[in-house]
Amino acid sequence: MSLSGLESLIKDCKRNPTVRLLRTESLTDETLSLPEREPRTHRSDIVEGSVLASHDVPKGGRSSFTHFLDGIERRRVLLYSDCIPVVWGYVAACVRRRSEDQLMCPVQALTCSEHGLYFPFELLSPTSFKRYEGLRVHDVRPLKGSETVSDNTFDVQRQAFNAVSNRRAEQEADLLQSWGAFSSDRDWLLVDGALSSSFRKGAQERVVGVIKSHLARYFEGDDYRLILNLKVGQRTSVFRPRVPNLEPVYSWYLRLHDDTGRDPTFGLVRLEACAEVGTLSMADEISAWLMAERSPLSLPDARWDRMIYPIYDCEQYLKALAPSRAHIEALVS
Amino acid sequence: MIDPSEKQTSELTQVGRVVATEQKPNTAYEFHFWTAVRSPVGIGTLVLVETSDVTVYGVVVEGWSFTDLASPLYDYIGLEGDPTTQPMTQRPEIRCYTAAVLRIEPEEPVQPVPVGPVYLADDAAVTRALRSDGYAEKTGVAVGAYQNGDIHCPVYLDAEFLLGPEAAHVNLTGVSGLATKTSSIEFLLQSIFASNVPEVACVCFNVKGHDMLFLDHASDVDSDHALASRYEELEISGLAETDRALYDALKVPCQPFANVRYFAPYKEDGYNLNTLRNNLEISGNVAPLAWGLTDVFKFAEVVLNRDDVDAKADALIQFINQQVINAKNGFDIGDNGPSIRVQTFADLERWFERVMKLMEGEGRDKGQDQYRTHHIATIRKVHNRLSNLVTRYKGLLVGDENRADLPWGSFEDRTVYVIDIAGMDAQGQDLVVTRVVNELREHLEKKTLGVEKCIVVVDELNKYAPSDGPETYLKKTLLEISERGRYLGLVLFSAQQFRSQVHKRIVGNSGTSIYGRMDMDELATPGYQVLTRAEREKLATLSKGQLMVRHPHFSQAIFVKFPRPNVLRGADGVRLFPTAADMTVEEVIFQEFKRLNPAVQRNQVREAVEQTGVESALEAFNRVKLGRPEDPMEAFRNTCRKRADRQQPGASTPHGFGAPAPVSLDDPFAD
Repeated sequence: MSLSGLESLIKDCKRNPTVRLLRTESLTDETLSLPEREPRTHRSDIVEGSVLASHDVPKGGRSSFTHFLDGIERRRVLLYSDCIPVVWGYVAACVRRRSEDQLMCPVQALTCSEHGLYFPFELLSPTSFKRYEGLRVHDVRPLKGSETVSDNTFDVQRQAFNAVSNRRAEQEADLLQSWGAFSSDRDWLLVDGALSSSFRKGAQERVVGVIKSHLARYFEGDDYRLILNLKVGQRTSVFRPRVPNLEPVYSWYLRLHDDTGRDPTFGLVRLEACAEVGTLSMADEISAWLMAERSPLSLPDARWDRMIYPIYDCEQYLKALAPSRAHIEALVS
Repeated sequence: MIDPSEKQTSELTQVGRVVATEQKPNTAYEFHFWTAVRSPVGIGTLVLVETSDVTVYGVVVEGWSFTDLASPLYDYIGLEGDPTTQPMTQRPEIRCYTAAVLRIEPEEPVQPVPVGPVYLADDAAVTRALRSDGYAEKTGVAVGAYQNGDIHCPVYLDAEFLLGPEAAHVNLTGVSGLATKTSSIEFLLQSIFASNVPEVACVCFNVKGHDMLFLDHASDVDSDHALASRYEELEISGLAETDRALYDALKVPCQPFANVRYFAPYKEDGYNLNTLRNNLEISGNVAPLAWGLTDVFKFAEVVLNRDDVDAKADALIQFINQQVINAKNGFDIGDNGPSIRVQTFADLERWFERVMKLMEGEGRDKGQDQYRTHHIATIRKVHNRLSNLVTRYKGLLVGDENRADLPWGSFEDRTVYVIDIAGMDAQGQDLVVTRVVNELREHLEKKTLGVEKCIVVVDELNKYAPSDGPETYLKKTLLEISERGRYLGLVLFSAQQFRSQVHKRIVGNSGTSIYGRMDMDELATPGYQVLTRAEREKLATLSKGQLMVRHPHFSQAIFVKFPRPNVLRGADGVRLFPTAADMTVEEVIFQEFKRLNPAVQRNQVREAVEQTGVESALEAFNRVKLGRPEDPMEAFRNTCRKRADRQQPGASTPHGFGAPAPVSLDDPFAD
């Protein structure tokens, strides 16, 4: 990906005394700076049996996942124009295929990346930023519940960062749709993250989402304790989360690694698949595939207990393609 | 990933990309690149980096491979301690290589190697990388082929740096038994003879076994050849097609040496040659090596025990050498007898006899204890040691004038002179090598050898010129050749198993160094620390026919493959031409004359020998050979007849062949 547009912008900014170019801002990515979100509790309906129960996943077997989808983002406040922060964001997503010799390889048609500027058009005219080649300009909308964008620089920055994340989610959703047309009946796709995201247009067959964070929870009390007390190789009953405005999915929890002596969420993931009867019959099988995916480990990634290696591989692949921190720092310095 | 068979640019195959990191930056002399796992790149592969501004040629000297696994423990945990578990996903493996820069174009300014695509070197690139584009046509000598897959690119040495005057000498190192040293020397000689090098001959010392005794016979023959059935019967394996292809690629004729002459001393009997090449079918070009007093006296310190040659003895030896042996009109002993010309050991014996008689005899000098300032004890000691030489080196040294030597002054171009000293003891070998090398040096200095350049092949150099041990005459001679030989045209091709045990000045003066498979212990010595570990590992595992070459034009060592020489291997040679049993004098003479004239009858020889006796007949035979008459048989018969006449009662018995005079019981130094 060419950064010539960004380079031209930075050159112009260096000559423009009204623009404050940030030379010391560090580049952050999702893993280093997760958006601050509050834990939420949603309701759910158990669809496998009448009560939430733990089930032993069949041991052995091989995974049937053939494709894996993940995305990354990088962002930094690039400059202040008229005291409004302008965020530079890079987003990329890909689907990687596992070949018959068990090596991960790219699917060129299912790899995308872009970079752009994120700021509220309401506060800063986009006109002067639109002439740079390859540099897209994104509007930052007001926070939910407010009609206008705050000119508080911290709010603007946070909203811009969220906008970068949303753009990434859009890209992933687009790839997911493309994969549907691209795949064959024997292909299975494992997606990093929830299928029920607002950007994803519903769950598809042969697609499974794996959610590593547990900020959103769907059970309380004994059910919640049952989830946290799952043994390695156990899953919960399948349930249907009731999240407003999202396409329905079937979901269940699975313990990938032994959590003895560790946090109760260690090795605990939540899976999502399309809300169909077939999913119920395949919950054990899909869980077994996930168990098989534990090897190799995605160490040294800090989330290795919940991140399976092919997803880690996607992330490394995208990071390798992304502009390096050194490059960006060199441009602005 | 790059599929090596896919990406072709400008007819070059791209195999990798240069990478530079803070931990492993590129320099002007070294760069790093990665390749696909199945890429045809390995240690010794020649590659080039091509950008719009610069082309860099390099040779791969190190390689490493790794995955994204940060710790082996992660793999252990991931597989739950069971190594037989098959992970669902294979970690990506990267192959990285370090290449040492051979050449950068343009050569100025000298800058670090840029990041860019890496290609496999093709023929043209190999030639440019090794700078042989400047000399290959004119003075190139093929040493082998750089091989990568189907690529067989000739690698040329520059004759001006191989045979002088710019640099000279070749040193070969390799373990024994892998046909490395001898075979590579033989091929290199074939290549030199096939090149444009003017007037060059070669002297080889066959110091062990039968390695170089069949250089004039091919490793296999056509079906219509007279020996074809015997080759087949003995299952003598010829050259492989790959070897022949290499010969073609290197433009060296796939033939045995056309001109080879063999020399060997006699056995102790004085008439059978001390060589394994004595089968009558092929012994025609084997000539005897028989030296007299004047040949070896100046090498007295080689032939005498070092402990014997003290200052007094040395003074007497010098006196004899300068004033007795070299006296133009003979030496006047001072005993009122005639002047004596000392040219043979027999003459010297007579000289000693007269001197001793003078000192001990009846005359006015009776009882004197000094002769020309030399004490009688010294004279007796030197007499004793010198008179023993003919016995000690029996077969090589002759007491009379029937000498036989190399054709000094008439050496021929593209001819190999093999001196078989394998059957001699160590001291005898030392004497032969020392004298031959000195004669070569002297003749080349005077430009009277017959050829402009002469290559001397010396195996087992760590025996003749060890890094430690005494300063022998031979070691000094070899050192002098290695330091001055290139100006004279005297070139040393030396070989040994352990380079580290050879005198540093000899290996240091070798312009070209060739390494075959090496012993790991030897590779651990300091002399090999300039090589990377991977290169050392490769050296320890080289297969037959593979060599590593260092040459002044190559800024890095290059691995090449050379064909098995198209000469009959020694082991096959002795099967094809079995070593003959020792013959009688009569048989030796008959076979020699029959070779010269097939009409010669055995009874003619028998009659002549019976007429004059065995020893006398042998002397007559030697004399006739030296004279090279038109009808040798007739000349031999005449000589025998004359000798028989002289041997009639009353005639004195000639001195025994090679036998020393009886030693006085009064001589305190007698052994």
